[in-house]
Amino acid sequence: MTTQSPAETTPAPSGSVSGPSRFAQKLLTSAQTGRGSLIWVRHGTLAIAAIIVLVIGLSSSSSLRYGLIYSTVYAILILGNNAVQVTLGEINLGSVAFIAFGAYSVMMLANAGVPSGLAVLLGIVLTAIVGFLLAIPTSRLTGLATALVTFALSYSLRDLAIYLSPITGGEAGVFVKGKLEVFGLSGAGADPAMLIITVIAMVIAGVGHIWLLHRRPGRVALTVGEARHAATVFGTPSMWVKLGVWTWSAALGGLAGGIYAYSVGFISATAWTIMFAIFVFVGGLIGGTRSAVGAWVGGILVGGMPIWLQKFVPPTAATLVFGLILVVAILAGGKGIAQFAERYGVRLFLKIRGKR
Amino acid sequence: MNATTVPAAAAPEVTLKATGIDMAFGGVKALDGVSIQLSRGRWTGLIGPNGSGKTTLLNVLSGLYRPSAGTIVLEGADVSGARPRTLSRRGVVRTFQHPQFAEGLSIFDNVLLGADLRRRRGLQTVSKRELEDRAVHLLEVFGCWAFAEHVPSEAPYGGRKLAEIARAVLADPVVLLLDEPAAGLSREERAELVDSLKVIRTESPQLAVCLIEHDVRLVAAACETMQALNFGKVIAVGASEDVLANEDVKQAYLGKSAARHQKEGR
Amino acid sequence: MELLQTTLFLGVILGLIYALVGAGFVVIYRTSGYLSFAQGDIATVGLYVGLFAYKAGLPYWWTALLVIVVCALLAGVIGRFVVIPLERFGVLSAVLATIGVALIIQGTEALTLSTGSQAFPSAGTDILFSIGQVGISTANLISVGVCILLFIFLGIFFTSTKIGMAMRAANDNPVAANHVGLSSTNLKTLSWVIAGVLAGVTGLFVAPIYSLYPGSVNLLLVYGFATIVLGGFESIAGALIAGIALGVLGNLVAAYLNPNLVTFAVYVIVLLVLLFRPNGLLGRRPLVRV
Repeated sequence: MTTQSPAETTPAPSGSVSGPSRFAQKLLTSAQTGRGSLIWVRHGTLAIAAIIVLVIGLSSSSSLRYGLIYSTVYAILILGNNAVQVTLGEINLGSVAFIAFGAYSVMMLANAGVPSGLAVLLGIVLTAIVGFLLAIPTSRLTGLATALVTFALSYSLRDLAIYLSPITGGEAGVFVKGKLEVFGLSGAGADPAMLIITVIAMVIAGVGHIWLLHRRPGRVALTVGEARHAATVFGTPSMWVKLGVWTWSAALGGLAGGIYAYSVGFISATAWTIMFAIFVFVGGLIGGTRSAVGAWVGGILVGGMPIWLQKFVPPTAATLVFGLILVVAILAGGKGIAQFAERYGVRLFLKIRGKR
Repeated sequence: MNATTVPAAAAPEVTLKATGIDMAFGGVKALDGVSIQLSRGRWTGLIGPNGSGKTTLLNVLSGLYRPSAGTIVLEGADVSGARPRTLSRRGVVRTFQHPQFAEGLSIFDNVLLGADLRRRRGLQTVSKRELEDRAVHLLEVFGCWAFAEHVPSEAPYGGRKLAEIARAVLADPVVLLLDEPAAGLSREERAELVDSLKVIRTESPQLAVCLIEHDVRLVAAACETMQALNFGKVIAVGASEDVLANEDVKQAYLGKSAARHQKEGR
Repeated sequence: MELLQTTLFLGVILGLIYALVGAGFVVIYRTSGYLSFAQGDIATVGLYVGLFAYKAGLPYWWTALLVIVVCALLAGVIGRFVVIPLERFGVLSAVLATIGVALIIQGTEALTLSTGSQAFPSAGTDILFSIGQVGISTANLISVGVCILLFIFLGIFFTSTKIGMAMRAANDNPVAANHVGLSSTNLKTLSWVIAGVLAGVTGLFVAPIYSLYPGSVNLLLVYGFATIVLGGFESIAGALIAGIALGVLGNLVAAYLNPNLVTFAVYVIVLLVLLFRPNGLLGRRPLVRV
């Protein structure tokens, strides 16, 4: 961004003659759009979130740790799922397909003897390729059509996995052998090492998300999604941009699936329900679609909550709490927790600065 | 078609020439044998009542519509039926009557779309920094800099329209198509628009411009030649004063327009 | 030959159920422009109430009526007080509201009732007669009969009554709605009530076959979606034809390929149709961007 330093005035309430200074306006717009000046602040909050998750997870019982690992897997999936919503404005209910494909391919590679790190990497690539291919027809659709098609895809996954039982293990399921060895660590299940690996993966995905969204790819994708005629007449290769977004979404799904394979350790077709896909979508909305930390919050909410709520209420009541949160979130304008927090934080910051 | 009156000076080089354009939607012919010529350094106004086919012609020239008949030649190359991607990369750039901006981006980021096109055009390379500086410059001279960091919905309507023009100019066009830039603008904003158009004329003297407008005075002030459409046909072509004095044009258009001007008290 | 007969016939019965689900979607879509994900869960509430009454001694036909009334009322309340008010935040918010309602109902049911499946009474399982090798039960006959009557009624309602026509217009033009003396909101509420009736009837057909548990009617949601994709988002007749076609097709896939490929076949069909015919095979209006 260009540097401009007009005399920085005290931020005034909007509607008055002077209005907020350029710097203040940049911050406010940044909180609103999810891009812009707050980029380094967002790296910071991502790091803080990672530290919090690590501290809590490493010092607690293995069941809580497992809950955090599971939540973070959800978070990675949500991060990818959000990308389509944020940039192209489409409802993407296809997350189950991507995480399932990632999990199964990693499972097959691992059980065939491929080293775990390589297996996950290949899983990401393979899922990205599948995502790319699926996106070729899917990205031509808009609005309700995209929602229905992705819904149908996620819905059919379980039956498809059962049909392919010889490879997937169907409902009876398959165990994933061995540990995930990467970043100099070795972990599986609810191991502390597994938590660290998962957190690192989420941080990498989060940083990737932040950079893509804040820089030119995000700008171009948002233009394709929100001003498509303008994008067209200015020569943007819109089709490729859309394919790129879906491929990124699939890649993150593949990453989530790979970690799922090693942390859950067991893959059964019964896991791939349409509710899973709806939870991912809704969790992303509640946490905040544009924010990496928002995806993490969403992941904890939909991934972890059912596990923690079990102490108080039957597992299925999570659905109830979830539905209530969703309706409340819509009433509140549907912007997501992260965006609320950022806006509030920026206003607070500007107020404090103004008083000095 | 009426006879064309050309100024005494040598005829400037023709940049874009569209001949015999027909555009049919179902059974309705929106354009019937329309021809238009845009020349280097010359501003051509396009006027006509609502529904006369002005915006349709613009959509054809920018590649959004594929004409049912007719040819388009751009700088000597036949681009009939070419898509927006081809046309834009060859330097045909347009604005929209209703500003087309991404709400999730600041005005400044939206304007950078023009820089993207500039880069894609394969002209002499220019650095990202230079393009951004040029974007800042254009926004400043067009009076949009005050809200460049706002999202579109928080910027004034007139400002958004000017930002659209800034975005288009940023792409370093060969042909600039402006779709009713004054529509919806207050009197002060129109004055700003006229100033901005003058700036473009000064900074890009080789630009071939087509300006669609209802505001007759504005068009006459900005353009030396003019073309009038009615019911999808060209009814007059020539120097602005001549076209405005043309009886057919007056009847089809100016009569209604004058009445509207009176009603709106502008 | 027998397999084909049975498959085709059962496919038609199933298809009628799909058509009903689709019709429920169409009714709300026509007036409000979006799909309600809550249909299945509204049905289960009515069914649970009905089951409770039936076990307490209420005869079947009164139970059936009770189910329909409960569904219609519940749908009306949800539409009027939850979803329609949220329409002002946009279509996406309204859709999310229907998802939220669905989740709330499911969660409440899971919390307060047993989640195991329970048997639900049917209109009558005695075989009345046979076509080829297929036995037609009382329930089958009644399903077919009621479906046909309902579709005829809906068809007449939407094309020939003032209210019905106003409902079709309410989405496009709230002023047109006012001409019948009803506000746009009331027309939309009415569409929810009608959709509730359809949900109740669907539930009555489905529950005896699949048993009753919180997610039981939701199974049909995706088939309902496919039905309206094929039949057009705004066409009742389309829902009928497409539903039957889908039921038969699905059954054929199940019988001759593999039952586990049916949902995937549905996905492929939905994808292909939407690619080449964005308004549905028989539909006309373009989908509004959510």
